Amino acid sequence: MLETESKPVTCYKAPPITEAVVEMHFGDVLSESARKRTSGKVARFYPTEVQEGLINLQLNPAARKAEFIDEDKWLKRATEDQTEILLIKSNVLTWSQLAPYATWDQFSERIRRDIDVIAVRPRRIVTRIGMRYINRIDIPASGDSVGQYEGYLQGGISMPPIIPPPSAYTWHYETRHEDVPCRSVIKSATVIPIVPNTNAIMLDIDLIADVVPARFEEMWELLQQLRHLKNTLFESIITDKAREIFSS
Amino acid sequence: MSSAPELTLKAFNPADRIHPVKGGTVGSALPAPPVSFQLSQGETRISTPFPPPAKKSMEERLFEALVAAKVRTSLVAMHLHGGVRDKIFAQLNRLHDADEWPEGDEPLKLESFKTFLRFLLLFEPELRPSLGLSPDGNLLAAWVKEENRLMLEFCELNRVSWLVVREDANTFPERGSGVSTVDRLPEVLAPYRPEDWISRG
Repeated sequence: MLETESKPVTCYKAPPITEAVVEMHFGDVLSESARKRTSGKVARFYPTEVQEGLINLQLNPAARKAEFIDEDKWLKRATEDQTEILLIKSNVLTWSQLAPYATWDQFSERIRRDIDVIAVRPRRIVTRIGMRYINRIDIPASGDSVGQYEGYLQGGISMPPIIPPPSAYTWHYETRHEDVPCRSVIKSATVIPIVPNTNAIMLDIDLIADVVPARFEEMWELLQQLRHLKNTLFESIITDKAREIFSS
Repeated sequence: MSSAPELTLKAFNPADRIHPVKGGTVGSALPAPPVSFQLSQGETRISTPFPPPAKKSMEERLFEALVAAKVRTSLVAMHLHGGVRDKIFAQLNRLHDADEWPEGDEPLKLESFKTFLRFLLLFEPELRPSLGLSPDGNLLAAWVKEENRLMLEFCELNRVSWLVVREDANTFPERGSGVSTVDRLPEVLAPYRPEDWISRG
């Protein structure tokens, strides 16, 4: 097993995290009224509430028929500054933290607090947990945007030398881990820069544990391990050049 | 004769805009674009806000404009220091007070706010401006120092309308105005010494 307390955590002055997400899937399904009750319990922490949903539209051109189906509906609770978000779905709770991201301790305390308030334990059974950190690395523009990303990320695309460095790229890497029982989906791509005089690359680390211990404290420990693995992956993918950006 | 294939439009998770993953991933809470389509062989995906925009009240529109601005700010929040974000949010909240909203006015346009954020990142003004809103939803910023004024209207596509009134001792009051891109503002305003308004020193 990975040691969750073995390494000091690197805290950056300007962490590149644009969104951190923790998701819990449950074995049971909440009715609409139960979702509303759940939303009411956390209203004091998240004053704004919006109903969101997905609509599935099926078109059959041959029959000239279109059918709209409400695929899913959920309640989105958020803090007044919209950086702390809780999605209450029929069988999923999603905690999202937008930038500015402070610390894992702060984020996990919020999750723990909500779990206690919602009274997830001991009735509901968690069937899957996930963690996702979406980072945007703002690279100072040098005038030549071609092929800059290799200096900031260890991972990348290996191409024959005859092919010039990329002006844009996307890569996607899925693997299963042994130390922590989960799979990871790591993606990176050039994205549209938002900060003036920069080029931007995205690094998205997504960890999914499909087998979750039944006991809550063990599940919570698994979440800590996912977070540790996420940090290990992130730190092993970025370079010192990237670290300089987050530290300044 | 083969029958025409049925076209299925599935919900499109914008967080997976790069590549859909089999077996599912962790979803993002970031809002979907107003309506998006993704066309591929045999499958089309669509997402839309819920409920449809046509049914929204003014209160809902004010709320959504604020949410959009705050979420947009989160994308650059790691580069905003010294409580800038909180001060902007406090002003935006005041500007969008539903009780004092003039009938017919538009809430803040996201495109205008994007231009404003770009301005903040480029200039890093030490002195915060007073913020206002034009009737059509463009963000206004004003720095006033005695008789001297710098006023900016942030428009879409990084365009900025600017107005300067500068009154130095022993000279006739000088006025200037124009339209520029936010990136060109430092050069365009340089003759008026904008640092006198936006810097503490």
